[in-house]
Amino acid sequence: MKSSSLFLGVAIVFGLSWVGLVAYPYVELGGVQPEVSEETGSLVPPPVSGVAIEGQRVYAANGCVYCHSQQVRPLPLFTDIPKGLGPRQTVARDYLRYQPASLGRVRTGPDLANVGLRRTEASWFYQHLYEPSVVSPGSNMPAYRYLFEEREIQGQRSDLAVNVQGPHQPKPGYEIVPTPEAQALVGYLMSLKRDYPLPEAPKPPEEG
Amino acid sequence: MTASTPTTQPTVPADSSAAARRAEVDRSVRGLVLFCFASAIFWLVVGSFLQVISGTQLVIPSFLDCAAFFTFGRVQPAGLTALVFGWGSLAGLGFGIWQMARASGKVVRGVTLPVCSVILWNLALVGGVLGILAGKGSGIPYLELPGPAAFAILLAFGLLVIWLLLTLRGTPGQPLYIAKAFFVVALFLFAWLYSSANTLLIWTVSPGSVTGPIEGWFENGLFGLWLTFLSLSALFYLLPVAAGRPLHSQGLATFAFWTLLFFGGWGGMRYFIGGPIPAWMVSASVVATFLLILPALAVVTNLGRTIGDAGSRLWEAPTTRYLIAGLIFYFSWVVGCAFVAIPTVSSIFHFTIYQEGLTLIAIYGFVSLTLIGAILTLLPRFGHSFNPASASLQFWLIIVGLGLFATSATIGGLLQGFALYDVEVSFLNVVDYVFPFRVLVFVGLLTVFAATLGFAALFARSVYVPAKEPAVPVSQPVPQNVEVVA
Amino acid sequence: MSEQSPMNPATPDTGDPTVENASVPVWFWCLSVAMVFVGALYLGVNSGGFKANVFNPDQVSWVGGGAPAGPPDPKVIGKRLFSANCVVCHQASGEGVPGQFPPLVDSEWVLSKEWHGDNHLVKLVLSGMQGPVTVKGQPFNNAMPAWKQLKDSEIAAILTYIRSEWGNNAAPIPADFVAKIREEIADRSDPWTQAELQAIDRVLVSEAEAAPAPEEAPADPNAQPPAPEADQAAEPAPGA
Repeated sequence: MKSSSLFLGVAIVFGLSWVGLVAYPYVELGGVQPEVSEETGSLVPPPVSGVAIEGQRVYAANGCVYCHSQQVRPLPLFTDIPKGLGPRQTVARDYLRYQPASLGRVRTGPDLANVGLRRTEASWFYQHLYEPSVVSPGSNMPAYRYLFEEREIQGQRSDLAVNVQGPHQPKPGYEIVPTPEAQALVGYLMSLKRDYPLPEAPKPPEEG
Repeated sequence: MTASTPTTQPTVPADSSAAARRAEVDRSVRGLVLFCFASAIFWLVVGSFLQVISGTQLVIPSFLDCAAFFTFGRVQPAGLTALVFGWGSLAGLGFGIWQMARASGKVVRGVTLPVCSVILWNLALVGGVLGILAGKGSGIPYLELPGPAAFAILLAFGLLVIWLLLTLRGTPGQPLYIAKAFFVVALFLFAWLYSSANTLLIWTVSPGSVTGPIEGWFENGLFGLWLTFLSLSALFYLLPVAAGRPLHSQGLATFAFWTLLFFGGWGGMRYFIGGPIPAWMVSASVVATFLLILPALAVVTNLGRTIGDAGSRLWEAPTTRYLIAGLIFYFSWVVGCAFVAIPTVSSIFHFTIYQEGLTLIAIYGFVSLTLIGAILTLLPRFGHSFNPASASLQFWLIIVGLGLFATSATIGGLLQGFALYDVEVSFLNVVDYVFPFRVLVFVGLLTVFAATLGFAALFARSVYVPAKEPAVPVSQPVPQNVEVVA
Repeated sequence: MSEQSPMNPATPDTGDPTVENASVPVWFWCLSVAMVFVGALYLGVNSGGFKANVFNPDQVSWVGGGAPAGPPDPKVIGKRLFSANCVVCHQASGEGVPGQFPPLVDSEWVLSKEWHGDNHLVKLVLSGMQGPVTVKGQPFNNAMPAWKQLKDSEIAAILTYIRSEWGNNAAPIPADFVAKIREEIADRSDPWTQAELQAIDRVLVSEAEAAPAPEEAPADPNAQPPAPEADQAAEPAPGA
């Protein structure tokens, strides 16, 4: 038994999968660039703000990916598009600007690939993060009150102050405001809009 | 299939001098192996506890929502990390070290380096798990450990492997038994998997478009190769010994080894069927995941024929019962993965509680049952005898938990899957449908956690509390030049 | 090591494992070959042509034929480019400004009716136009700049758009048709006049495709000199 020949064999057999599933996508998918869309004349995928990049880290650090996916799967096999998760299939280039991409394995919570298209008001996100069960009765999402702080109202009420209903209202004279982390997270969530055209992701024909 | 094939090991003459030699070898690695096992069991308890917390939160969302430290999204990955990198990896390494010592027939002198490696591994994991809870996780499943912790684990691993290869190398020309081949190759694969994935996703920054393929490849390799090879190594070593028969077929074992290595590497994109991964990569993974049934069938056939009519005797014994159940759950897990890899099935079952149940079956059913069985088999040789009733109780507790996981995965997954698929059903209704099954999973996690506590107590008792007579009497005095680590 | 723990009958030290060499059963080989065959077939059919930009195996046939994605709709591109370049004069409604800028809606120039050809339309866009013109019976006297800087595909998209929008219904203009015309008039820098254009034979895209290049190339140089037609062309403008 030559251990050198065993390991050569192992390296080749297993290395094939490394070449195919790691090196190849690293070159082929990592190398894709944003481009000017012929259809809209603007850059796709559109640039993402620094706040959203920061928010991506908050999303990752708090394990949002363990409940929420960010993938829209194509027709005809999957019903993600008729269910309103997005106008088209998501493809590799949609994730180019996020490091890392959070594709997700489960939908304990709803898919967020296009949550920025469905919800456009930051105040909704803040309310939902502060007390999900009040905004979405029946939701099993935990509250993220640790992303907010309660502070005394100085003069005028802050623009960002959360309109709190339910058991966790602030003391009189106090207000609930999102921390910079929460603001970044909401900026990130609102940036999740995969509706721009990409040649490799054709939109399915519209149906009534 | 000639030169690079694991081949037979000559029968060790079972005379008394050989047995004495083996006892001597066992004593020389006793401290190191027990330290690995003790660390592993610590992480088993910690990881299961964290799983109970996150399982509770899925049923009662407001549970412990006061602090960032205990939020679901941190507790869940912390628990999984503890189970995979603490429990499964260290237990498998402990067993492998013993196995290599046995195969080499060498009495180990000096275990400072490997003990330090395991200490470093533990410290890195403590720091890493606390880091995940503190919000330093990467958000990539199973690559959550912060960069420095992952590096320290790889460093500890590297030192351990170097020591292992320098000290316990078999004699040149000595045939390689399949169990040892699985273990040694597992070491090689873990180094490749973990260093490659960390380099591309944690230590450096890669475009988000490649996160999916690399994390899929890594996660699939972590379970389908690293943990699978460690566990199969234990099964291939212990079951023939327990049955008192030679392994049925070298050919089937070799077949399983190479097909597992090939298809196991390619299965990673099965997590992203319909996802943002080029179609051919997904299709290749679907095929590979499906073809993994072949090595699983080869393993089950081979070990089944080896056991033969000794099966009922092995099932009666509290230790080998774990091993047999581990083998059965290995096959169930592989078939479960193949089932959900069929794209039509995936369109219903993917993203559901089915996937969570499958992970729990892999961790607790296949890996844990096998490695607990391996530890229990070695315990009487290293420690004192233990109460078989206790081992039996823990076995059935884990089986109850696994039964609940399997039920919620299949029935709950089916309900949740059709509700997610149906255009008419709103998302909050899906949450309602799946709720009872989350309660079942929670109960299952609770019973499994109770079993891990019982197992930890059994282990500690067996190691520290002397029985009336030593379980492993050593007939000859220990030679002067052998360092015995207590 | 003959002695064993009485508590653990299954863990005697019977030595280390050994192995026999029973051959792999025939049924196992058959099953393996069958599964690998089916797997290979499945991979072939669902490979998306092994392209990195195909994400849905249904998009591309299994031998790799077919585009990874259909080209973007020229009308969508055309609308964007029209909005960016043309609406200042011709308006988003395509109605133009009476007395100043001619309409595109139902215009014989746009739809290649009467003496107008697709070639005229492309030429006037490429090099611009000036002087008196008649559109839908109305006289205009203004200047249109040259749009040489736009790519062939962009001009084709704009023309395809204006020929299919606002109730207009004429054949699309392909980019290679624009390219051909651009080559023909490569030397020309001055804007066209109506008289000049009218002197040129009418060519339609459908004809140009049916009759390949050889006929087209010699036809055009000859088209420049003839005088009588130019006279005719000059008449309507002052008359209207």
